[in-house]
Amino acid sequence: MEIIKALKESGLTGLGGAGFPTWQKWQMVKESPDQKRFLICNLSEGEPGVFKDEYIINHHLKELIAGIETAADVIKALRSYIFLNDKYKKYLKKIQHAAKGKKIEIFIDTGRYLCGEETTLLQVMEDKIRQPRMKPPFPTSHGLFGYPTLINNAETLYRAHLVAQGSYEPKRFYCLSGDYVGRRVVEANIDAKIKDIIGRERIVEKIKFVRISGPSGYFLPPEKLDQSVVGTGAIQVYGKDRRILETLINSIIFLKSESCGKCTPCREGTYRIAEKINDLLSSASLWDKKETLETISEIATAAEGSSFCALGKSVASPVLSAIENFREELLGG
Amino acid sequence: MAKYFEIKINGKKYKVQEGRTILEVAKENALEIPTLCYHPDLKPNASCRLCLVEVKTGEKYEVVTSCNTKIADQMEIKLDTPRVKKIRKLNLEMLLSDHIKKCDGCNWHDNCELKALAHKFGLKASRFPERRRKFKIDAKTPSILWDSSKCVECGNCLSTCEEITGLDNIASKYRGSSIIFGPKDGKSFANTNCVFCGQCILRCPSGSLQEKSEVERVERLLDHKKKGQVLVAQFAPSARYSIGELFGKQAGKNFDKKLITALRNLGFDFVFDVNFGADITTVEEAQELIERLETKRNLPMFTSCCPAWVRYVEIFHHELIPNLTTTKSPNHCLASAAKSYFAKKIKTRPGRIKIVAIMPCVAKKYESKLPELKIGFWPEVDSVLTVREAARVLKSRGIDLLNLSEGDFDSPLSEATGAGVIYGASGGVMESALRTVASKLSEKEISKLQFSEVRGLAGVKEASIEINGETLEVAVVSGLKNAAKLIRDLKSGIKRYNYIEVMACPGGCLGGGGQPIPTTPEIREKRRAAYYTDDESKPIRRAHENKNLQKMYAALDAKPLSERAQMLFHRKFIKRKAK
Repeated sequence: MEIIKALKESGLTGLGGAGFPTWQKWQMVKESPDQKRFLICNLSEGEPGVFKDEYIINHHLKELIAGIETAADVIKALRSYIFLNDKYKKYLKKIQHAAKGKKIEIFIDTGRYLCGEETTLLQVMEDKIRQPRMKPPFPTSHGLFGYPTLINNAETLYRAHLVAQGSYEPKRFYCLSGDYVGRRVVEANIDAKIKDIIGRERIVEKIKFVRISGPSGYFLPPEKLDQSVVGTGAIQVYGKDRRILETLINSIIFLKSESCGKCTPCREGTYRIAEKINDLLSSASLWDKKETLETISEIATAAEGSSFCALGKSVASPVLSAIENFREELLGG
Repeated sequence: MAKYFEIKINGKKYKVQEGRTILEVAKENALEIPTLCYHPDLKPNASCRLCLVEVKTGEKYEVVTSCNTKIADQMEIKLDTPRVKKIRKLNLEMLLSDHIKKCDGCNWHDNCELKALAHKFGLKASRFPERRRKFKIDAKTPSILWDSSKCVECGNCLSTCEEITGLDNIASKYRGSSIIFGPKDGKSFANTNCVFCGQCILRCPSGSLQEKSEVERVERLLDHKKKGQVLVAQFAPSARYSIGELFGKQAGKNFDKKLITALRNLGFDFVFDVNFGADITTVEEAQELIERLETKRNLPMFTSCCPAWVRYVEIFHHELIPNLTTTKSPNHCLASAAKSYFAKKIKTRPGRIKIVAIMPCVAKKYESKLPELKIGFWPEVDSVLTVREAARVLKSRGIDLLNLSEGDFDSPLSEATGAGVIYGASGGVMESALRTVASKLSEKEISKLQFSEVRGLAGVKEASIEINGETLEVAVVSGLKNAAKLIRDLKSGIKRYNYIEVMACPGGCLGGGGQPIPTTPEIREKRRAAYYTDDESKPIRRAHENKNLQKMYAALDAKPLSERAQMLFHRKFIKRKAK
């Protein structure tokens, strides 16, 4: 009980992207009447530009394992799992060594981006069709094989450990990558401004745009960098010689190839947006381009409004933010 | 006590029971919400995203799918808002450009939901080109045709195979826009353990799964009739009650007399009644049950009229094969009688008689092609048409079923009893057999006629029936998933029965895979009710009292289970390997 209270006071929220209050999730699993409970630590980040799980494995593995144990203890989990992304297989020995003698099992899968959606992660673990489940019921009451399950991102569990230790500060990891900044993880305050995270003024001057939180995130022009980061915490910096359209295509193709294919707006929508962006590139008349852009934004709005899961809804954010901030350039080709 | 919620739809107040979805509530109150992938038998997949409504959350309205959103107290719902309309239209536009329109010969030809929705939403020109270039077509099995180019990826087939059949023959492959739903190995249903019940066909909104058509074969028979050939049509108990639906009539009306005329107009020389075949099956099966009860061997006895169920046992439960009754299904009993007794009567060879059966079933197509069901070199049943195909043939030849004069079945294979009528409903085979068993075993003149315990559309029905001082424990199961559970219970010893009827489709043949689409619980109930009213109106309701049947047995010089009857009306089963 103490820890949950401490979590509540700390205001720690899920750091995987959705930002659900951590204490509430723990409380829900803890209070469920079912005695068989599971804990899953999600170490399956799969978006380009996000590499904080790797950073945690390399630098804070001990604390992460301790965090898993703390959480397992609080919710009285029958078993804990680490859902490890296939591309981090090289760290398997390391994690096994750290988890030695503890009730932790490691589950390796190529689930990738899809497994950011927790019910899809459960489907993968149960060897069922790789599509999200209906919510409600939420995994906190009907999770792995129908038992209440706590699913937390690695960073959340790491921070939860710090809360339990009493050394928590409202900070999080930001993954910086792209032009001029180097590929590195920065720890900064949760509400830190993007400008400050990037650091030097000299770099900010050279920026054309940044992509926040990976392909499913959003684009910002340099004048809008006074805000804090929403989502997974990735900041990708693009210099003056980059083209927004190329990066947008890159985002959409990623979302298209990673879509599970369950619902129309995400499955068909991403396909059609990619198609229409190519039209945008090839067409010469401004009139056509405007119309195409209109269609693209209509599809994105439909995806935001009617997709099945959060990942499908996030299709809209790169498209709409690019249109909002870089409309002229998109029309210019 | 049921709790009631007060909700608002389009500003109007409604009082509704808790625990239901917005779509269900809307349907009850005659409010229309367009749907595509929704089917009342399945848990909502919520993948087509067409049944959208707006619900007030906090201050704003949010778009949700009505098929899987449960109502809550004080919920404020808006249907058909401009925002919903816009998204819905776009989603349909995208779905349609994913669906290659092969409308000719499609199951849905006359009542295609995609077309109707496009018309309703005012969709004219699509902004998107058709995107399917690579696709697979599987026509290797005798029953099912799978064409992935028409698929709209709703996932209903997968849910059906999982939730209703309890098998996992359908799987999805790849992801994103290249996702395919189809046979598990991605190639053909012939490589899976598919039992050909065809339930997935009923729930496929895009016509991607269909029966393998035998229309052309039948048309060839009709148009190029050889000299000396005798064309015989026969139709199943349940076909006559549902074929009217395809001509715009309500479910549950008997069209047998008009269908006879229609078939004669098509060019068939004789039209026989599968109900008569059902009577043969009943008599044989009842005799078999009596014998098994006496010798106490191979109990419990399972029915074997349902080819999908037989295939299920042949694949998954080799140990239960001796428990299946060896009596053929009504369709094959009748065909067998036609090619022996009737052939002799009209002095022709069995090979010259060509039998086309109209069935509510796609597994019957598979059954008709089995080598163990042959009479000499010839198949007993030459072609099987589903009810949908039959209607298609009639329509394509300009025969309007509704405006025909009434005809009668040809003797001698006609004049069925009430016992034959109810074969189409789950529990019907059981009840027919019980009527005969009760009358044969009881010393009294009048024996029990109504066994209402085994009626109804429930998946599992159990009853203890008293016959001549002895109790007979029976069970009636429809839906293979329920059957699998029953077998588990039998093996663990929780349950004990003497006689078990299994039908692979929910509700029996009336919910069969060859029935008109849509087939919903509501429609099944309507069809079911019709059987029992017709049964009650029949003067003779016990199969063995059938005069024509007695005449046939006399002419064949056979008795139920005699050597000759064994040859004509009984079959073998084969142990098949699971794939």
